[in-house]
Amino acid sequence: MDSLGYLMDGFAVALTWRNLLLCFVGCLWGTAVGVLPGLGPLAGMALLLPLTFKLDPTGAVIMLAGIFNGAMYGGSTTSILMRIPGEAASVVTCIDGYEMAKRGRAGAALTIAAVGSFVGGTISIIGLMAVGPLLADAMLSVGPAAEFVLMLTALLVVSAVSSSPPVKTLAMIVLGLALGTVGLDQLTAWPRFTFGSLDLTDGLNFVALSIGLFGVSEILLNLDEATPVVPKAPRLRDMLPTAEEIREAAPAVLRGSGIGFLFGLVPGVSHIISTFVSYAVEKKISKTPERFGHGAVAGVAGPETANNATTGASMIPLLVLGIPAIPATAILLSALLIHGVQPGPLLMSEHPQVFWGLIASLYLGNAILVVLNLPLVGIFVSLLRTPMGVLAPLVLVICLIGVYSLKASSLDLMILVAAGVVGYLLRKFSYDVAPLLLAFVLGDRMELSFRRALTISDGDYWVFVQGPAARVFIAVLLLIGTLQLAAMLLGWRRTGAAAP
Amino acid sequence: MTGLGVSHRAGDAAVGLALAAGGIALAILAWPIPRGEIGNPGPGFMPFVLGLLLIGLGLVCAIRALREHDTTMVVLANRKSAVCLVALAAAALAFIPVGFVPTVAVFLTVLFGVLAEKPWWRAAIYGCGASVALFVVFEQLLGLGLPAGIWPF
Amino acid sequence: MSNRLRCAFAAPLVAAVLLAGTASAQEYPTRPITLIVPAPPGGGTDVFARQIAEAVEPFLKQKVIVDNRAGGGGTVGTTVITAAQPDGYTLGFIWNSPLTTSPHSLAVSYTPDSYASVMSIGYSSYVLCTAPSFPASTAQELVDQIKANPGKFTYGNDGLGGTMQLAAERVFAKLGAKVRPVPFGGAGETARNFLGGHVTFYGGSLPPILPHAAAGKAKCLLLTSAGKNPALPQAAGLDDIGLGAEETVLWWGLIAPAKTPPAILAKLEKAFMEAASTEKFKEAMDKQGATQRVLGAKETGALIRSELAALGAVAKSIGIERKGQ
Repeated sequence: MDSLGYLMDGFAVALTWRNLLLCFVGCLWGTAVGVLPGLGPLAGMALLLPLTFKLDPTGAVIMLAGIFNGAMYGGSTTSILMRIPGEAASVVTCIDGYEMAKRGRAGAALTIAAVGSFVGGTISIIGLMAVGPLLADAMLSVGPAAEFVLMLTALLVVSAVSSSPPVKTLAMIVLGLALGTVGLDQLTAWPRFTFGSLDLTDGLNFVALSIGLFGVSEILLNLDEATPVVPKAPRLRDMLPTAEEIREAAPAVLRGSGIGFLFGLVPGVSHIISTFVSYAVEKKISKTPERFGHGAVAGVAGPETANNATTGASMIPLLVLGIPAIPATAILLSALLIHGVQPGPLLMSEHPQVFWGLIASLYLGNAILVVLNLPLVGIFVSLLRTPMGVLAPLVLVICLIGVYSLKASSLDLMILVAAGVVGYLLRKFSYDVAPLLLAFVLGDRMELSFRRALTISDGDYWVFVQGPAARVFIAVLLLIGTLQLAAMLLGWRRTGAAAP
Repeated sequence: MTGLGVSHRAGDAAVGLALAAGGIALAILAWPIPRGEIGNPGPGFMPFVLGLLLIGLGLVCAIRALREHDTTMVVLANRKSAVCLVALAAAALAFIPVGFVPTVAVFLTVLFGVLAEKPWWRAAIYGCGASVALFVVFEQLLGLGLPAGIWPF
Repeated sequence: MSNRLRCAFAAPLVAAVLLAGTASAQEYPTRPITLIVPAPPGGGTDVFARQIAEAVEPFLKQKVIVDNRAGGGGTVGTTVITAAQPDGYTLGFIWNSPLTTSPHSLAVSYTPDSYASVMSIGYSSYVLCTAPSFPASTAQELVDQIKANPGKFTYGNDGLGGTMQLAAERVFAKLGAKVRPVPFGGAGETARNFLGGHVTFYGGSLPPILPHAAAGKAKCLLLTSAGKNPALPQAAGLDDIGLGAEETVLWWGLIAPAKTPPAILAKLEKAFMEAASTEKFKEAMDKQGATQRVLGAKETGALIRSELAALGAVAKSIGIERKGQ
């Protein structure tokens, strides 16, 4: 095979001491920023971007891709240990990962997340090499109309498996969509609900909102209990997953790889969609769906794998089309452009050392990360030995730092506190806040693609069922809708106990 | 379990009503924004529709809560969570104008004292030490840039 | 963010306090200068800001530290610049949109009197491209097609009320043509939708479309600059269709708070113009598909005012003007 030969050349590039060191530094830094709530891959890459100006293009992308990957690995840590999502992609992991930690399975959850990430990451790079160009073409056929249908489908899929009663889930979705409308309307430049604040023209800060809704509310809830159930530090021999947990995780990891890879092509919101969809799928096909929300292993393994499979897939539009589909790959693009390397259809022939060097370094990065993260599991878990009264205040300070570091905005800090209170009250009365966050992220893009599609069709609603992509998504939507309706009518719907 | 409590039924209904009130506010605020027409929705279209939906869903939630007659008491706040919330809000307000080190030192002292029930002098030592240590880690090692405020170094 | 503080660390506090009061323009600068960039790290503006900051250090003999203050399409950072101490130690590296475009749709607190323009480094054009199958192969044929089919075609742009859209509408208004704008989140997203055939024309900056033009997937026919661009020799400039006066491009420059002492402004103008004129900086701009064109304070100021007025008229005519909101 021709590309195998190229790949070998790529490894020759990536395995030089310098590039290996850059990859390692990138992974290390990425893990650090990923672990810190608030700082995601975007901030981590942006902070080190100026440094890459001094490197050659191959070294620059290798280091930045390492940060990207590392941040995706690290993001799950605080989700599992403290129920604080490191970034959008690890919101879902908060649900069952934290529940596992409460049951003393934090070590197992972190190990499964790390190994799942490795498998998902590696499978997606193989996919990128094998069918990358093909998928890029498929991605192009997804226009605004199909994008709208796709996001609507994702929202419905997720609402179908939420742990709270359907009406409450719907209310949370609508609330999330409503919060998402704050800011400058991109189509007409109309400032909506900004009350004259320039800070708000970019919308409410997702990081502040998610850390508040999940992390701050969790701490407040714990303080209310006379004897709070906080994560337990496991004994050393409990650090590794049991055979039963591995049996449960393995198929979820494989499914997560596929879902993550496919959804990696959804522009803009790929990580959050793929993790939510993976969670929904795992819960739907599980024989014990009632365990979801109470520490189901598959609920951690699936989304965490999907998350990292998405990272590999999100490189496809960048490398094949030269078009970044998510903000993190936009930073990779600018790092390449600074060096005069233009990714796109001609990248492979014009700069093979960059292309194949990057691919090879993605493989290496995944291996480095799993080796780096497994020993860290023990260190992170030992944090749980700190008593709640000491840990909680420190965690709150780190939340403040994370939110502040994004935009140095006092408004964001206020949003963090307000979201904490709102999340606390909602969760007291069994409203699930995860659908709210998903709707918040998707809302803006959903509305835009809806209106864009109508602009393109000049007001013709048939546009939503035209084109191959839209039709496929519509078919899925109808199928899910019918099944859901049938289930509700026949009273098959399983409603698990609501999350506390 | 002492503290401010409310029955599940009343609290649940209140949250539903609050959502409906949020919907009313949204619809009213969205009213002046152009809604466009059905084939070409304007910037006010979606917020207004969402406002109406939220009113409806909030009311349904409230009615369901009232029907359920769940009279379990739900604790809304006790001494610890109230102190924690007030301290967090104060810290968020003071974070930028006062600066990282003094704000966090006071915040941690109060919370170590109340949540971890340490004697005040020890809470103060831990609080000040931790705030300086966090500052060093985030500012010097990670180069994040924390607010200096009134603190000169 | 990070650098505001580092700056305080780098300069010994006592010296800074003593010198800030007494330093005259001859001695300026005596401590590091903060360059506020109202864009996130990694974009074109940020890249040029970091490169000019590095290039100007030997001329000013001081460190120049980049401080990203993104938000509100650049208006947040620009507000910070205009409100900063006018002592020459806080400057702003901006692109034209927050100065000449955003004020028409956002209630910004600044006017051209709130800041002093120092210099500008150059520009990058926007371009209109069509699919290879589109029945036009020159700019004139494109104009004829557009005129003959009012309201039939769509063009992707960087957002309604954004500089790119106003640049295009300015030309369409002169031609008396109507093309339906479809706003996207940025040129990359526009390119994706254009390549997928969802909009008729690509409208946006050069870099995202260049590789596809080279691969024969797009025909780039008309630039929004007066002249042609060596990267796209087949595309006509506005001069070629007789509309050179309607040029709207993306350009970058340096501003300072309004009351900065003239002597300091003069020193900055000289240093930054020298730095921007170096061969190395020209190369850096070439790599990003931009054209070096170093202008002084006077020309930059005049450019801002004329562009603000021209784009204001366009914004009004297409009904997105919302001043006083």
